[in-house]
Amino acid sequence: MNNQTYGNKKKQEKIALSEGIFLNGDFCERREKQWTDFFVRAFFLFAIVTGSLGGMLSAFDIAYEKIGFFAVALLVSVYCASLYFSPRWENAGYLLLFGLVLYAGQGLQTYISSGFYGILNDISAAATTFFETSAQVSYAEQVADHSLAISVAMCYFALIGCSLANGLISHKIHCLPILFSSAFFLLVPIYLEREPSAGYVILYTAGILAVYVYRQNRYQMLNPNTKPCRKTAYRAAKKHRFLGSFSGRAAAGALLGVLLLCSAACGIVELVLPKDAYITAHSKSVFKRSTMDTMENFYLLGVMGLINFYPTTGGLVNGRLGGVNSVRLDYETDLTLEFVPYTYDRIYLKTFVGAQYRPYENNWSILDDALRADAWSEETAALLQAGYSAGAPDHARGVMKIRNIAAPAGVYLPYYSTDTDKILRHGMALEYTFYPMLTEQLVQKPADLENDIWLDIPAENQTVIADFCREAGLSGSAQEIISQLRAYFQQNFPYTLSPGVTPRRKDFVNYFLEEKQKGYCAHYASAAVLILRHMGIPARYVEGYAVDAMEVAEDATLLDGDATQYYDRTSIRSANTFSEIIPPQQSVISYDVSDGNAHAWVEVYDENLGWCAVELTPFQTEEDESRGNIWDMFLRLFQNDGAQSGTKETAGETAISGAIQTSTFGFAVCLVLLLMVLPVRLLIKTCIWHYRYRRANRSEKLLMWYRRIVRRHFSKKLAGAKSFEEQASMLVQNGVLLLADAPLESLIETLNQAAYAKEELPEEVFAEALGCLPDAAHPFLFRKQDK
Amino acid sequence: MNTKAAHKKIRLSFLHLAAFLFIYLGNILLFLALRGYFFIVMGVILTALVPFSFLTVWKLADSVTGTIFTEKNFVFLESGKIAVRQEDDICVIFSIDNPSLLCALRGTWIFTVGNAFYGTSDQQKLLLSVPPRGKKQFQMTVTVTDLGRVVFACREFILADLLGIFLIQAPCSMECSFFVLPKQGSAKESSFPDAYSGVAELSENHQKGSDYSEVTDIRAYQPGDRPRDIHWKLSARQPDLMVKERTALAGSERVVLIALPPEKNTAEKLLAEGYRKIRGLLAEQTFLRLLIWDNHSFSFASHSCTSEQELDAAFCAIFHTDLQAHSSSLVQRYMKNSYPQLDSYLCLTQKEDSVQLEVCVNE
Repeated sequence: MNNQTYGNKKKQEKIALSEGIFLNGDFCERREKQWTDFFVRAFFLFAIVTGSLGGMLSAFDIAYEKIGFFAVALLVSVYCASLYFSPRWENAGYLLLFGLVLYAGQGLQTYISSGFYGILNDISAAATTFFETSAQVSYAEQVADHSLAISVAMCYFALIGCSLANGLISHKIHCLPILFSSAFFLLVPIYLEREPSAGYVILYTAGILAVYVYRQNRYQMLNPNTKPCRKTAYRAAKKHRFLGSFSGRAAAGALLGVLLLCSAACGIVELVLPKDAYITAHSKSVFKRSTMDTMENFYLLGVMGLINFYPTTGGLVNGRLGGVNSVRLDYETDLTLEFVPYTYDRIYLKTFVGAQYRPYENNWSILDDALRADAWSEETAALLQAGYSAGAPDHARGVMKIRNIAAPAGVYLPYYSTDTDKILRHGMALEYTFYPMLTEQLVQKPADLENDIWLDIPAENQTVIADFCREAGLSGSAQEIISQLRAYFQQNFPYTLSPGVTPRRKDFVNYFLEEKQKGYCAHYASAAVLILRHMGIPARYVEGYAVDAMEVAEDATLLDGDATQYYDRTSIRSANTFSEIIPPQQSVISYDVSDGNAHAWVEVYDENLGWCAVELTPFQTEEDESRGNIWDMFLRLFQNDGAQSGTKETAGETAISGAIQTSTFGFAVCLVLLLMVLPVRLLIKTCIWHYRYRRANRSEKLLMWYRRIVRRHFSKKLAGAKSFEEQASMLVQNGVLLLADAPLESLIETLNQAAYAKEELPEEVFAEALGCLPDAAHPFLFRKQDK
Repeated sequence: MNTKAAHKKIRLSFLHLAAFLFIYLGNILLFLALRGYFFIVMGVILTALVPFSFLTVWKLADSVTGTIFTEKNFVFLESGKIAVRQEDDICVIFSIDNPSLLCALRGTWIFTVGNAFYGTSDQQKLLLSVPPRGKKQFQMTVTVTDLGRVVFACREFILADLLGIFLIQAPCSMECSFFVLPKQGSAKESSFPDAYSGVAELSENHQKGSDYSEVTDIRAYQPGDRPRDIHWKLSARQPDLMVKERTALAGSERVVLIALPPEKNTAEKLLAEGYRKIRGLLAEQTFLRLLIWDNHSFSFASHSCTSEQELDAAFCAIFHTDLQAHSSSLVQRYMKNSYPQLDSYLCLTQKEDSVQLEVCVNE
């Protein structure tokens, strides 16, 4: 192609097919019937969005109005597909869609949020079953009609999903982003061993494979309405190739073929290997077994669960140990208690009981059904209830009304209660009836403990425990041993909220007793249980919330109410034996329990009283915080003193300080990430540029260098929009190019030749043109003379 | 079709293969990690997609046919030849016909386009989908700036399968050509040089050797034949008188020799200018005979022109053979040898950057 052809912009639109033969105007066929292409595009969106979203809901057996969801998805898909065919109105169409999203989000906010929470609750229920955990994350649904709320939410998500998917595949078919983003909705149920229905699988696979097929066949390059098609026209012409035309009928044919193939494959697989048979037969993979703990923590505690190996913000961890580097308390209310204070001792609300310790897995096993009644001390509770019912002295009946604000769903049982089946879910309020132990003699002696599991010590811990007991000099009766152990811990094992993470491949208890020798309640309780068992005392690990009388006195709110309805005792025989607050000094109070009250303690078995709570966690003392690794020190920058010292501030102060702490930490993390991302991005872009530069011929090298200079001095958009003449004159005006008229014209001529001529630039012309361009003042770029 | 099937070749696109393997292995890894039933289904689909895709395009390559043609509006020669004027637009249409139900999203039609007269050509690629059971056409509006015969020819096509991994290369035979004639413009008025009046038959002298005709046949004498046409030497050996039948070179026709140079630019200019000069002659009701040397037959090709249509047809005939076959530095010597009876003729030649129609003495 001779240079004269491109003397002005109008002539630049011609492409030389051969010497003296030029192709005029469009490089693509623009008269292709677009209806088939339109339906194909609409099907893309519909199949991917309904396949992924609907597939996820079908996997969890969530009921919703399918017809409405499909209708909305279809309408939005058709609308989004139509935007593609009207470039003039495309932006306005997206704006309208965005407005609709906002309007619908505002108008149907209650239904959408409730439906979303409903979906999350259903997924949460499945996750609870899968992880076999007693804790369940639940959200308050504001709309009573569960199905309706989910249907509305699904329609709204279809609206958003189609819009986003259309943005990804309308002009440039971004196959991988659409695959990764949509597959997430199916990976979640698959991880939880729930499978989507066959229909949704067919829809989804057909949609994704069709997108993949079109991407591989340059659908976006051949379609005249796509931006890549227009942008690459000259590039294509330069490579001795001009674009052709895409057939909507061929696209529809391919889509039909893929759809039939997917349907046939699904049918065949279902015949050969039925889904139900497979689900019941297959076992968990190694990957799933090894990641279940992490995923469970992620499920329970969110993203922070991934940062800390067994993460916690100070709340309950259900027997997961060792993953917490530093406990960060948010002091947000988890439970609200409404009760009558009856003791100066600590009040425990039990929610988790660990029977067997799993060394190196660093957790306490969950109870099986056989041990459940024993774990909840139902026998002791029944004896106390019998004593109260019989009017025996020093027996009492209390009622505690507990409202779950932000705690995991579960049983929160005061000592001692038989309401073990009252699961307190999010937003719920339940009344627990309990019978506190005010006497040392029950109406009947509890049955002997038959199960040896409460004396079980793993072989991996026995040596360390034995050495510890010898060193601590534990001996005597159970009470003496407990006292000795408490004192030993107090003297030698300082309490801290920042113990550091237990290294992988190390056992939590051994590491605590032998190396770290500091920790918080979970450390002491876990170690103490094994120590006590070693000394022949049946013991077990318990988690829940602990409320001190002093905290109650300071922070509780007095309520108007009849205290006798909340607490009633029989006659007094031995006052204050159990630090009891004797009526009528009592009144009904409300107290907010936060994650600062989350606690782990030990229960030991007494032959006369059954299982009793024992506190072995030492009081916090001054500790040398200068010790610790750099990460600990860094984290301490964002921790307030209250959290460090373990003293609780007032609610307002803690909320503010917590917010500041959280936002400061978040800001710091974002800043660090940002500082890391920008140089990495720049480095990657520079490497790619260099790689392409090395592979380019002389014409391409000149253009790459020239464009880099233009982009450096003007915006990218301007660099693409202006002709070489205009760009060069602007560069001269701005003092970037210091060239006289003749060399400037020569440079422009050479650039035109490099851009549009088939032949590569001669060496001398290339060198001359490169000599006219200034050096790029970029630290990562080599100099001109290096090229 | 059998020939096509025999000559089909399979090529692999490793980039597309790598992309597919990435997806395929990703699915396997996800299955191993999550043990989901979904990944079994997906794996079966992906596995089946490869042979399905390959067989589709393999069969399709046998059934696809194609043609290249120009839009009928541009056919203006009575002889059926397609011709356009220089720098006029012409629509060239690629048409793909697929009778089967199979389809391919990406077909690459490798065609050559060039000027057969100048012997220039370039290879281009046209990307066209092949729709199921139907035709697919692609129209190109082309402008040609050089004279000659433009040829669009497609000898092979490559069909990609759905996954883009397999590329089936198959032969085909599609060709279309058209002639590019000089712009008509206003016919230049040609003034004959004085010496030229002497070559007209009306002023023919009867001197020996001044006959500007050539013998085309020998037949028996008929009453009315001129005595000078009797073939005396042959008649002496025969019982009957034999006469030479002549076709007049001179007389109502004037001989114009087109002396084409081998260089493209010079030849282009000579033909364009010469076309206008010759049209000027025709406008004066002058009948012409164009002579142009042909290296292939080693003789002059002769084209009689009494109208513009015949002039266009003559130029088309000239463009049918390449320029190198028409150019020779010894063309005037060949003229003397081939037409010794001619005293002089008109010669279209280029001298000092200008095209001239001058009288040449045949010597």
